[in-house]
Amino acid sequence: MAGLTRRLFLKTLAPVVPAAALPAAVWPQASGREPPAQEPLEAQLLGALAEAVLPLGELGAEGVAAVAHEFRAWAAGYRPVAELDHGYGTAELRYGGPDPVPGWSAQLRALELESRQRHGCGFVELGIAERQALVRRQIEAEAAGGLPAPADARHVAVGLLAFFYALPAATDLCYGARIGRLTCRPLSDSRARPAELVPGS
Amino acid sequence: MVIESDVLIIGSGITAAMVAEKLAEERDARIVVVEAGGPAAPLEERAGRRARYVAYGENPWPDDHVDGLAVEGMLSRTMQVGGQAMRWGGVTPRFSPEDFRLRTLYGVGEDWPITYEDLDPFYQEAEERIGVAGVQGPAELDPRSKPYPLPPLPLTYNLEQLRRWGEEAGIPLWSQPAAKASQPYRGRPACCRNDTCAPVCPTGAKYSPDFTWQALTEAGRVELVTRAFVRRLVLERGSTRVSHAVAVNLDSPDEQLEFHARVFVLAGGYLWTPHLLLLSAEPRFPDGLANTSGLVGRYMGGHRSVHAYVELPQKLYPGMSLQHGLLSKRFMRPGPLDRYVRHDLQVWESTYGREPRLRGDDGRVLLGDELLQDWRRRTQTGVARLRSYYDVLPARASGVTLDDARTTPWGDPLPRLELREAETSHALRAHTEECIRDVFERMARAGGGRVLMMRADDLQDHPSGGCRMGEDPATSVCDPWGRTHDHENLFIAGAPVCVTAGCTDATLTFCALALRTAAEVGKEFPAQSG
Repeated sequence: MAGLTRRLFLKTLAPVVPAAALPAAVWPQASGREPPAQEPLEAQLLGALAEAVLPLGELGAEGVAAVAHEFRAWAAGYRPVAELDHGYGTAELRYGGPDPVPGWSAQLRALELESRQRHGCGFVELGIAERQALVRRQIEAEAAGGLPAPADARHVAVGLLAFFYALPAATDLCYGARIGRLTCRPLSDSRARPAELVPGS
Repeated sequence: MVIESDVLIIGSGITAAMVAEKLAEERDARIVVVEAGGPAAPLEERAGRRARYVAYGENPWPDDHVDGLAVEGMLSRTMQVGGQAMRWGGVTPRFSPEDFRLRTLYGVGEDWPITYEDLDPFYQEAEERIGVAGVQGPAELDPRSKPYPLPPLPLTYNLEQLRRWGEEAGIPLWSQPAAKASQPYRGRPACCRNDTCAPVCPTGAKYSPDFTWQALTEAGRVELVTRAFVRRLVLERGSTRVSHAVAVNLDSPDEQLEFHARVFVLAGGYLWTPHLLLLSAEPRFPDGLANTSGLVGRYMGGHRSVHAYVELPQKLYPGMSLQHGLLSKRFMRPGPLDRYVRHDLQVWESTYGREPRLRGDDGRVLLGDELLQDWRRRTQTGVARLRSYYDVLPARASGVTLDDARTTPWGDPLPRLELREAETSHALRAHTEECIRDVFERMARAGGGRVLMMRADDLQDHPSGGCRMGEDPATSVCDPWGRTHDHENLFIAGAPVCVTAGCTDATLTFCALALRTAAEVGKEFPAQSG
């Protein structure tokens, strides 16, 4: 299957709203917490990582770049120790973890350093297979089976994968159909089998 | 500070909303509602909050709890205007006629002092106030006297496949009745399958009580006092009538609030209503108000469940509407039984076992196109989620007492919640769960599929009781209308008055009961003139 375009990806990323897009009134003023200011993930390294771990053959370079861009924005919008949905069946209140970005940034730099140590060149200059080999080595211990929630990923590669595969567009790509999970869709459209995903649409 | 009213409603969840709306429409009475929690986020913020829930798992209803009120075993910390129905899934089936006559029909549990037919008009009223979209199932399984106010949510392609699967297994399945507008209704838009009903509907298509409170407060028909926790009810001197409620202002804990009213309606749910009655003990009622029977906080129970995930040979497209499903009452109306077993059956599309994974069958880490191809290969067949609720008959001791060891921030004992089933119910458990498993296995075979996973949960959902209704004051807390036997101006609305918990989602039944109570409360006041 040929790739989804950047346009389609951006269209299906509606549920993911970077923090900066929310009005200030939405922030919990009572807790006195402000949106975090932080260094975003390094774009070039992240893009190279995305080419290695995401389905490049199906998404194409443009699709992969779009995902990397949105993941970077998503990571920048993470609020450490935010109150999480406390669910049902428990009296527990839950709070998220610390900001994963500093650790992830260090991992991107570690990929760069290891690439130079092993191959004498930067991570971006490696071929896909060599990049994947470096990543596999680094995530071997974490790769238990399923994908975690993106913010819970210990390695940036797993976080990126978890982010991508949680997107409605990823589900559509898997099933070859416009399901549009988690998006607003007319009830009247629900009776029919989802339309086939047309390449390049 | 003293606040006067004709009717004081304690709590602001869905049953309180039903009571308030009915009284405000039909009666000339000043209504005050007191809620321990704070206001819920307004509708215009929901899309943004939902986005952060989807993206980061953040609570779309931040600070929807009151510190210091965690109780082990409680099903939710939610304490805000609108209560748990701000985040409910909105599934609204009715009980079956049998649920009200277990002792007569099956020799187990207890009969209610009311019948399904008594409650039918109030079920209808609840469905109309909420805006329930539904379709009647086969009449012999799903009796009702009038149509639903809204047409059913249409079956998605997936659900139609699953409905046919049910037919092959000899089980009629139909669209779940749901508090989700299938077309614009009372200012709410039609559902567009955003599919995060629980915990948050971004558009307002799903009913939540904040819509009722907004309409009532803007029209000046109700005064809503928030962040005030009622600590006790006080009786009139020389009378068994309730005089006033004493509350603490959570934003200024040194400030005591007194709510004086002619009539008091407790709508705080299964946990906080009996708790308040127990806390309100005084010399004439040393075991708590309304507790001459000794049954406040007793006979509380819910329904347990058995879940299964069934792989089916047809391709499904999960994500069309994961939170809408199919319902069958086939097993709620079984006819004569040698041994009691009744349960509902609900079916949904599912992604169980069909999620993307990092390791292939050979244990190797998957990256790039391989991971997507592995996922695609594993999704050529579909998965259905099945769940059956069955009722747990409670022991007398099951329910709420006062905890000697833990207190609220204001020094009152917290509730202690301990659900215990009756011996007859415990003896039936293995048989019940085996019967449900058989149904699931039979369905899987009929569809050419297989069961991937099946488990029984200990959680008792939609707990109710604790202030059961009855004709006899010796064996009940309130009469069939929710008026407490001991205090003529004290009513209990919703879940606590239930005699048994039923074997399907109970919120609509709580609402119907609350409306019935409101009808009785309303007799105390002149009709609304216009």
